[in-house]
Amino acid sequence: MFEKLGLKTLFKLLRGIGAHKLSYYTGLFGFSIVEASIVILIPIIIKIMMDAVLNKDMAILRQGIALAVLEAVIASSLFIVLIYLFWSAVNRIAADIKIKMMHRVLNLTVAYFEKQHSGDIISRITNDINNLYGAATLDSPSSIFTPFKTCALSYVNSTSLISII
Amino acid sequence: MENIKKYTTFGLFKRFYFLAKPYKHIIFIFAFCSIANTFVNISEGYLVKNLIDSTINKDIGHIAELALLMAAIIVAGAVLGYLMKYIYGLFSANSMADFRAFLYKHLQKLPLDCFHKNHSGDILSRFSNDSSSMQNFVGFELLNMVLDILMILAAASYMAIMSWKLLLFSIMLSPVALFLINWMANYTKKYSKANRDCVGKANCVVQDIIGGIYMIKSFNLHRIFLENYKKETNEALKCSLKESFLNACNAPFHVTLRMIPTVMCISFGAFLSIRNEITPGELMAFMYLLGYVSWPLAFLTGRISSLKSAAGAIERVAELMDWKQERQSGAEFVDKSAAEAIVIEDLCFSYMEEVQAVSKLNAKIGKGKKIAVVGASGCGKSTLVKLLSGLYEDYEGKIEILGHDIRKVKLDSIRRHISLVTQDTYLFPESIGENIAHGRKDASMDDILEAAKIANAYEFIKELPEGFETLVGERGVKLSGGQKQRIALARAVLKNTSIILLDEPTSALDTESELLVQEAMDRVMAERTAIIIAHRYSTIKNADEILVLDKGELVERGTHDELILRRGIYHQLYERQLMKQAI
Repeated sequence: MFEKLGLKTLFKLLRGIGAHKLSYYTGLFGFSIVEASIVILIPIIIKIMMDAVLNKDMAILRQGIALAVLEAVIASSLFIVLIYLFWSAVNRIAADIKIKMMHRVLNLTVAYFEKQHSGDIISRITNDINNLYGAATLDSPSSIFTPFKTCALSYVNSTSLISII
Repeated sequence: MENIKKYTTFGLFKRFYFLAKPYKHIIFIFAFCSIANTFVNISEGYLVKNLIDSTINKDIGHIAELALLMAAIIVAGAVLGYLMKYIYGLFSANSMADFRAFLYKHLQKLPLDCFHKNHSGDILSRFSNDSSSMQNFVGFELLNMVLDILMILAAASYMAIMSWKLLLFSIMLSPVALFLINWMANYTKKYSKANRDCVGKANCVVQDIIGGIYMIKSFNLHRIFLENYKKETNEALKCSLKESFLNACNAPFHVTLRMIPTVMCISFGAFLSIRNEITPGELMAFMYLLGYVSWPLAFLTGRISSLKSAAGAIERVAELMDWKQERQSGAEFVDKSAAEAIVIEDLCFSYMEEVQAVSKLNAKIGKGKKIAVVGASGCGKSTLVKLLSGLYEDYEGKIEILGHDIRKVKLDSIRRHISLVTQDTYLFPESIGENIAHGRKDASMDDILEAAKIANAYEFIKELPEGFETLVGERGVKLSGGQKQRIALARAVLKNTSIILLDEPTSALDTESELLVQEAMDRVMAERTAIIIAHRYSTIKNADEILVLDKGELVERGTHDELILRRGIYHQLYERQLMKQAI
């Protein structure tokens, strides 16, 4: 079943992360958490502001502004580190895989080169590795938290709307 | 080709405009759907405003009306969204297919020296990796970029109508962030181009490894080539890391673009609402529409980075497209009753400026004559054959083939009248029959069989289990050198031209294979004008005339006996070979 789902390939791919595990996972999960926190906090800030509007209360307004500024500063600083960690790990992983693959190619039997067209072998080393690179980035690091963010957002939005009504 | 044209991002778009031209009608429908979709999205903002105000005023009747309208608009938006994606997919798939076909044709029209000056790995990298990056950009990023710009313009206009003060306050930091991101994207482009150049170089090493695998294995060159590959891959990695760092540094500006407008809008909007300058409904509509401005703006910068990054790849493809093609113009070849088959007048050619490969060469070759060209290695024999085939055109002097100056007739029409068999025969990874049939596309199986018989190839082909259907493998690895040459000769026989050029076809063969190929060559040359380059004098002796070249110059000419009597260079070369044979 694992094979059907392509999970074996995924596990193989994850094993290839090797020495860059720490920076890859820190970048991936760290970025996603910060990204999710922005998406969740913005509606919360909106809710606070709407409360200020409906209650005509400047103090609540100031609280909301302070929370927003704090979140922006923290998120910006963390993003620089986390994004760099993630992408540098991905680039290093791709380079490692390329070199490992080339090592394997150099040790293949001559019979293999006679059976396979050189264009196909070249395509595996160049194009297919690039596709693997795409898989390692999972399109964007934030995508793993998308369902979680959506749920949280729906909850905050609904409470925000209820407070207006 | 030496002067590589530099492109701006806009210049690149202009260069590739030809791809969009045939799909104007699709683009028009797409533009119409996009505008309609934008209108639908803006209407949602208007409905939100009324819905919130009606809710606060407890106007239930109006709420139901607005809710129905909202549902209709959501459905319309979904339909339009689907249509837009479908139409754009149609455009991107078609235009990219055209592009690949264009690039493929372009590659075929490139002159031979282009392939000498550029590594095949680099050309392949431009053709595959770089054009794939371009395809990704056109297929995805460009679509979103267009939609984002439309949305920003429409939403900002409506927001300005509601409260220009709030709009200005909300997005006042965005232009600064945009400017900074764009400024940094220029550096990203620089490193992206450098990265792709390194990837191209690494691909050249891959190409060398695959092409030279026998040599690498027999000479134990694994480590050297792996080190070369590592070096190029690590160079590419360094550029990628710099690119990643710049992208990471862009993050605060992205936050500024995504989060700050919302925060500033709600803060200032709440302030205005407390002062009763706008209604809560207007504030919520503003917040809703701001998403259509700030989010696309935030992604727009990412897309600008992608654009700059893709521009690196696209620039390499554009460079490939700018390489000068072989001449396509010229008159059609018409049979003339020319006295000579080939006339060469004051022919000069050099690969490098200071070294003349062929110098002031003059020769007239009558129809049906067999001419041998001899000389020491590097004297210009093979260059002469390439010049006669029209493979190089930047020569001085004149070459006439069957009465036509080859510079004045179309190259493909000239090549239709010449067959070339080289020392390093290239066989395609197809069947033997298909390889022979490349000589003439409309050839029947009987023609192929006849050609194989003339070329002494039939005997060995029929011994193979699958006969003419036998697959030869890449570059014909499954066949011996002599078998490959006989297939090449069969191909030339099938082409049936009045002129045949044989560039050392027996040089790499053992004695037995040489005899078979020699026998085939004699049959192929019969009743044809033939120029044969050979280093074995058994092949040369029977020629009607022998041209002796030395450092690109014609130094002696005559029959074998005449040249032996003259005791010049030819005599020396002949003596040397006799001595070798004796040893």
